Amino acid sequence: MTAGPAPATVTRSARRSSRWTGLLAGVLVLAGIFCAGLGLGQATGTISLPDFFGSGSKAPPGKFPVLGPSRPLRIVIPSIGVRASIHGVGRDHDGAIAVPALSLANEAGWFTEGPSPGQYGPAILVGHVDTHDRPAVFHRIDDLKAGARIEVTRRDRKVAVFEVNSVETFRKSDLPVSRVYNDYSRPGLRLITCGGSWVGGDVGYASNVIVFASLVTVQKA
Amino acid sequence: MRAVLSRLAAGGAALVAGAATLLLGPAPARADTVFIEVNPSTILAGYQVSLRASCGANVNPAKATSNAFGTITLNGEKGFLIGTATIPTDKKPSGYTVRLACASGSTATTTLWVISASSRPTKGPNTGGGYLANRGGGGTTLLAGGLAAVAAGGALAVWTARRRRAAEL
Repeated sequence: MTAGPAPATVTRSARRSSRWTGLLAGVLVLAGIFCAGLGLGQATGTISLPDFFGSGSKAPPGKFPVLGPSRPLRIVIPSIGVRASIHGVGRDHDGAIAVPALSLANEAGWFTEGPSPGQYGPAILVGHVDTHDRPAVFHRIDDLKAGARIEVTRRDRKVAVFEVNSVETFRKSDLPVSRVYNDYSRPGLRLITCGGSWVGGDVGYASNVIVFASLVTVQKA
Repeated sequence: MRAVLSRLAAGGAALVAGAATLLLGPAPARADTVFIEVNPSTILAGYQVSLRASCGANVNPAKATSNAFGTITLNGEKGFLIGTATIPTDKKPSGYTVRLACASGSTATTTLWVISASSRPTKGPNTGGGYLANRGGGGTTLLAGGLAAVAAGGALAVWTARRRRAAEL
């Protein structure tokens, strides 16, 4: 070995830089696989980004008011600019909740066979996310954050104020039915719309986006 | 003098009577606390509710009656009269009066709202027309970006390996 000092330093620096680029290559590959997987999950509707990164959830209050039955008339969600009328809906031939007609896509539908907003149990409001050519009443529901306020004005001139606990996406085929429809432990609210990937046909979107909210206070209209 | 004394005595008696009514005032109020409450006050048919009642000072078992669940007996526990009732699955959705009948004869009422169990939806509604479906997002950007990053990383790894080999030779 009669090599001078100069080539030795060149080799060492080359080796050091190759170690760094090797590390960079590894990080790139791993991050790429992660992103590709997330993208694949999102494209097929199995992973929802906000769910994955934890959009945050807020526990419902320990103390809450309770109201009797009264028809809801208007819904206001200040944080996403929703102000809409509410009309009653029943069930369709499939046993799912009927949805507002597309001509009423800017209104929300209250499931009349369930509790009123403010009564014990989950009051259910459905709304379209879009029609075939424009966004509809609940198109920004995905942007709702835990803790956001939802105000529902009732016919008895009381305003039931709810607080968002979580916003979650479920495939229509495996909806957690008891969590969504059967929780009678407190006065709750469920905003239901569509999301996920577009399947078309009778199904439309593959998933449902559901806002879980709990009654916190009651105000006078 | 005697007249004055008797007037004083009368005044004193009035004072005592007044004080007595003041002191005893809360007593009738306590007797008023005959109540019954149902928790939850709205329930799916087929489910159970708990009842909590008080017959004031009377701690004997009392009866709660309603068209929603018939008649059940409430027994004393921790100062209240407690019981549970199950709503039959086929109970029609409506508001039902729940009536408390105390052993003392006093009564109280509340309302229980029953929701039909058969009206429970089992599926999610179809709430979209599809307009937003094709507006970007949908994971395609993430997927493409991820694949590009994998390719870039792979290429970088190959290049580095080649350079290292060249340096070693």
